[in-house]
Amino acid sequence: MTFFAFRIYRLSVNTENDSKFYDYRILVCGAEKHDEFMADFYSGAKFVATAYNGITEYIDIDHSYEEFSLEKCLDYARFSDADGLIIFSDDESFFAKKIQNVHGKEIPVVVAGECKDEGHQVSRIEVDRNELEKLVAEKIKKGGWKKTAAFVRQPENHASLVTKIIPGIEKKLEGLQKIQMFSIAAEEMADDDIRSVLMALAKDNSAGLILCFSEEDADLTVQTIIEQNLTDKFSVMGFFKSSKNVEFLKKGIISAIIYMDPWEVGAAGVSELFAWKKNGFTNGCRLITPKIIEGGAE
Amino acid sequence: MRKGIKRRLILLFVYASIVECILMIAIIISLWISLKSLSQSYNSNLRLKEFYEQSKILHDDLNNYIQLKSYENINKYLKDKAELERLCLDLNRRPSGNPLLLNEYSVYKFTETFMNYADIAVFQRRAGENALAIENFHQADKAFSFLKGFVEKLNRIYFSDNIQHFANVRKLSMNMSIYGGIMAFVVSGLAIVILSLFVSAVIHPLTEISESANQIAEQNFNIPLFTYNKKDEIGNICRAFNKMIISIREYIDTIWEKAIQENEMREKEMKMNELYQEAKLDALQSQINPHFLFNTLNTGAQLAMMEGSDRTCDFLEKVADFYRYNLQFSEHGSVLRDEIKMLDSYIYIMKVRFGDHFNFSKEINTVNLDISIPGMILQPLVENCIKHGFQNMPRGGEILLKVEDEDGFVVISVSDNGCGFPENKRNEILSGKSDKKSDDMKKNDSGTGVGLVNVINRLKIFFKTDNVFDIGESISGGTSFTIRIKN
Repeated sequence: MTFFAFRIYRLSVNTENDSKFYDYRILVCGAEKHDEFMADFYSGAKFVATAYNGITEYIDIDHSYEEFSLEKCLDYARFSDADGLIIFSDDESFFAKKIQNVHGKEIPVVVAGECKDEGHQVSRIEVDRNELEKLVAEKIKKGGWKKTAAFVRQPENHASLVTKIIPGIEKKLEGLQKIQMFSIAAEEMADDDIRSVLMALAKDNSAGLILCFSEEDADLTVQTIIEQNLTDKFSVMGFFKSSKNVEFLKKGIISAIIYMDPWEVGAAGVSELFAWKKNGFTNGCRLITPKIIEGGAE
Repeated sequence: MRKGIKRRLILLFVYASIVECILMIAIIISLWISLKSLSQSYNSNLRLKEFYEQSKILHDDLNNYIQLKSYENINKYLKDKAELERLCLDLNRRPSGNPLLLNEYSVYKFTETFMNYADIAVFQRRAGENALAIENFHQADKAFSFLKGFVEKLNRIYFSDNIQHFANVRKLSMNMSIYGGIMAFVVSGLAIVILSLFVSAVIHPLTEISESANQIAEQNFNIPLFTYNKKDEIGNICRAFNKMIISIREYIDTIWEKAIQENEMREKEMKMNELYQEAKLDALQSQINPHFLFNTLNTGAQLAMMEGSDRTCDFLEKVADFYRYNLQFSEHGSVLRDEIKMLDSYIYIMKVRFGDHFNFSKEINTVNLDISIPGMILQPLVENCIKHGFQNMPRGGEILLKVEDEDGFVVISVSDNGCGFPENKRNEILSGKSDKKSDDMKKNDSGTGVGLVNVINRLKIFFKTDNVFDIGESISGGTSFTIRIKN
């Protein structure tokens, strides 16, 4: 006890850290490739958790020297007997299994993003697709592009999502345009595929809009447009707010970024989790209205 | 409350010592805490290592028991589990915002899960449910792998924290040494300043006392008194010094008064000696002629008797008597009887000289004609009457010598009916303020050369009183010289 007391004393001296004790520990995890998104996502979750006298912990699987996986996050939550788990997933095939601690007590899981509907998550945070389709359609109408194309990477986790959204956008365009969908087969060959698609589209000399549903696609497309000197023929619409995308937006190559606010997503995840802890149930889904950043202004 | 210098010095020393002691104790305690803290810097890593080793032992025990169900293995498992539970007591058991405590909490939770799964596995193994036991053993193994990872992570955090702590403590120790040194320097400096001020406060009045003593040694007593009124040793010295200065001033004033009195006495004595010397000189000078004249006159008287000129013989004899008396008693005291006799001789001589120019009469109404009196006193008075009183009277001058007893005094008066004595001259002569004029008067005197001033001064000296002679107006309007001698 003396040892522990001494350590507490030492920690209390360090005013930079929050030495306050909490009632709940909520775990937060997500794909590492979305660092910027996850930082804001975690920040939102932490902010709301504090209101419930809970502390959030970002799961860093690195220490296990193993590959990151959402399943591992579930194990982590189970073995560490967490009070809840919020997962950001962009993999629509992710199945959130039911997790219990060693005593059989259920640990609630909230999934933000994509996952299997039949998973055991207590709630799911996802974008309001209707609003998303409406925003894209309005932007296309306002932009006056003669043609619109979308890249669908194969195999990609969110491919089915994209294929669901495209018809919705076309519907909201009210027959004004048909969106051409191009599959990009392999990751290594993605830039070649994109180049060939763009070159083919550029032949009719009419301005077009390219919808890029992933950060990587947007990056590759923008690079190709610049390399092929096609900036006056194509504009890009991104669906992920990253610093790179924002840079291209400022340069005018990306015309708009439509995205889910990660802070809002994280905050909603914690709210859903505590709603479940309090009531024992949730609505099962919570929609987040997408936001748009248009060219020339962040 | 009286505070002496000794007491104040002791208090000052005690205060300074207390402050220094407190400072030293504070530095020692701080250093002790720093050293203790330094010694514990890596204690957390050692503890965690011990904790991990124990969990590993338990994991091995579990593995052994799952593989071989024996009493030894179960006993060892239970014993090591108890030890691990004991070590768990040191871990944080609540979620915390602090990363270190939060990781400790995670380690605690993983350990708890590991031990729970291990217990279940052991229980199932004991019950012979081997398949379930292996399943739970795998769960325990998974939990242990998480535990291992988190212990490593926590170890890194501890290490990083300890390095930081070590650096902080070292910095703190160095700062404490510096601040301690500065504090010691400041406190010592402050003590020196206070001591200097105190010593200056003590020495300042002493310096003033020293300067005043020097002034007094140089006979300068017009120095201000000390205003230092504190009730300490210096105050006592100042008060004593003030008393001494006052006493010296009073003593000096007394000496001055005495000196003035003595000086006055000395001046009077010198004046009397001067008068005496003058009189003596005059007498000596006059003795030359009287001796010669005395012999000559005797010779003349014998010649006149031989030639049968009785009147000339009488004249010369009277002149000779006069000068004999003059020669005998002008220097020493005489008696009134002889003085009157001498005056008769003088009157005879003057009668021969001036004829009926004046008339002299005597009224002697005293029994004591042997009373002592300076010689040649009456003659100058009569001479004054003749020379000055009758200077405008060719005839009819009257001189009256009157001797009578009055209230224990013998009163001798010589009066005339001449022109009187000027008031201003009278005052000057009686007050003795016009010695020069008196000298002039003396020089102007003819005959014996003994003037009024001489007469008055000799009377004052002889009778040791100022109230022995007076000049007034006679009944006939002339001058009246009065001598009052105590009988």
